Amino acid sequence: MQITYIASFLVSPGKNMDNPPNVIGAMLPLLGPLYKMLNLVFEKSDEECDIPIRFVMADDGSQNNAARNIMLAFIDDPTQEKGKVVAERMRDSTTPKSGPALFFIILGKEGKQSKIVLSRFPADQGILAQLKKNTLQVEFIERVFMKNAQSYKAALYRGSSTKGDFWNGAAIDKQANELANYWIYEFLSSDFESTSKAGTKRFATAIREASKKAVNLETKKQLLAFATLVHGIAGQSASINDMAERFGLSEDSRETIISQLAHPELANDVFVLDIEEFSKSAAYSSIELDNGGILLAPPDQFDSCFHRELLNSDPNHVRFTTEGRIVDERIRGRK
Amino acid sequence: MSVDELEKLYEYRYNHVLTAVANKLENHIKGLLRDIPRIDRVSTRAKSITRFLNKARKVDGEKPKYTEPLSQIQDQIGGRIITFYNSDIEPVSKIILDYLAPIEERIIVPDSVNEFGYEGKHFILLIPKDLITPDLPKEHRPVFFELQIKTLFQHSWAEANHDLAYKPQSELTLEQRRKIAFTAAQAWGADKIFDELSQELLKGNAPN
Repeated sequence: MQITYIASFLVSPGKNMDNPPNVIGAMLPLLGPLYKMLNLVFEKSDEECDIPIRFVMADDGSQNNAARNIMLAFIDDPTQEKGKVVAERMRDSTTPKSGPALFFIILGKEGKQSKIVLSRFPADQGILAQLKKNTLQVEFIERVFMKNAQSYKAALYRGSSTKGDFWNGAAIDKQANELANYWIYEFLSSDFESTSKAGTKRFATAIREASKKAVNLETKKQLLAFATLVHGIAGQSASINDMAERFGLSEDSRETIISQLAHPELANDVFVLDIEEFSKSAAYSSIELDNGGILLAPPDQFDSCFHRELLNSDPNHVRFTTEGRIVDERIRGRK
Repeated sequence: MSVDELEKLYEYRYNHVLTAVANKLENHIKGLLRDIPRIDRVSTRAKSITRFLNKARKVDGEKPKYTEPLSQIQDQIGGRIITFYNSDIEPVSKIILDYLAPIEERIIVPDSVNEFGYEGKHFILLIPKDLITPDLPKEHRPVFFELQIKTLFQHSWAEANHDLAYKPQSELTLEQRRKIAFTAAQAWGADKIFDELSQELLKGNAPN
């Protein structure tokens, strides 16, 4: 898809300021090296923006979202004036901690289809070295705007009608956990496309089913360990692939989990891990006794695996019995 | 786009995408509500080709209401959850909002306290990504569905009202309109009394 308009703005932080700094902008020509660079950003955004997000409804329950409204206004009338409104919203969501940035709104149209990329290049410091008449001239530059910096952010939306489409899109946020509040929740007035409970339920169910289906005992054990370890990232946002990466899951374990999803793309879907939901749909139920013993079984099989007998009418004083063939036995020594 | 073109496109969408997604959605919602008591039924449907075209032709004053009906009509897939009592609607709504992403939530009640008519809770929700498989043609993948949550009495009144009160042949007489309003009031009253009875008799068995 060809770029049809590029609006560019220098945005300084202005959150909670009585007199926020002015946003200065310009429409950019669709030629030259800067255009080529932004065209690359535009083309790559389909791969780079991999966090599915959606605009949230208004507090009164109506289909109204301030961030979406101003973005749609730009799509319908791509002018510097309409773009400035979007840039000012970004300014008003940005704290001094995030620093100044160059903000680009890149719009492409092909037939009825439109694609819009909102892209924030943070400012950094740099050194300019130039050869002049066989001498090296070195200069300090206070503001260099870099895409590769760790705080690069972008959002991408596609649609054919500003009257019905553009409710969901995708984002990139290299500081996903730390700054998602400002980029996704605040500036874009959005949320992850899958709710916390929906994403977590899908994840927990996939681990549970994967551990049932896993043929390899090592895989089964790794899945069990994985289900325990993820408790450490409760409340954080991540995709199944992110978590598998983070906890060093083997290829076999990862594939076994992904094979339990409705389709593999869901492994990239980002959600906030809801540990209560995870425990509800979790891979294993466990009970730890004060004698040091731990009983472990899939939740839907726990009661058939272990017979529970109340002792002395005390609900916490119990005797468990079980019966089966040993398929694996290990003694783990202390180091 | 001509009506013929629109019909062809929607017919393709209906046959190749919407009916399959609607079926999967019904099972998905049933799964979410598995532990919730007093749900009479959960059903979903793809909007029929005739109903879609009728809606697409609607006008607002002299202008067409939908200039791009394939994008703008959000109930191409619709779902209903019918509960026994009024107080069952809230816990069901909570589950829905926990697991599905809304872009609209509305409680529909008559405009005036002196009126009786349609009541229900409506949502426009994103179709869960789990149901949109990569094999579905991109340009026909539905994004939203409409979900109505109603009691048995609200539902049965709405169905009979839709069958009787929206006949194109003639306008209803004053007497007929009063009868329709009367049945709505009866349904409202029955809901009210059953809800009070359920609160008295089902204590300890309330939904979470």
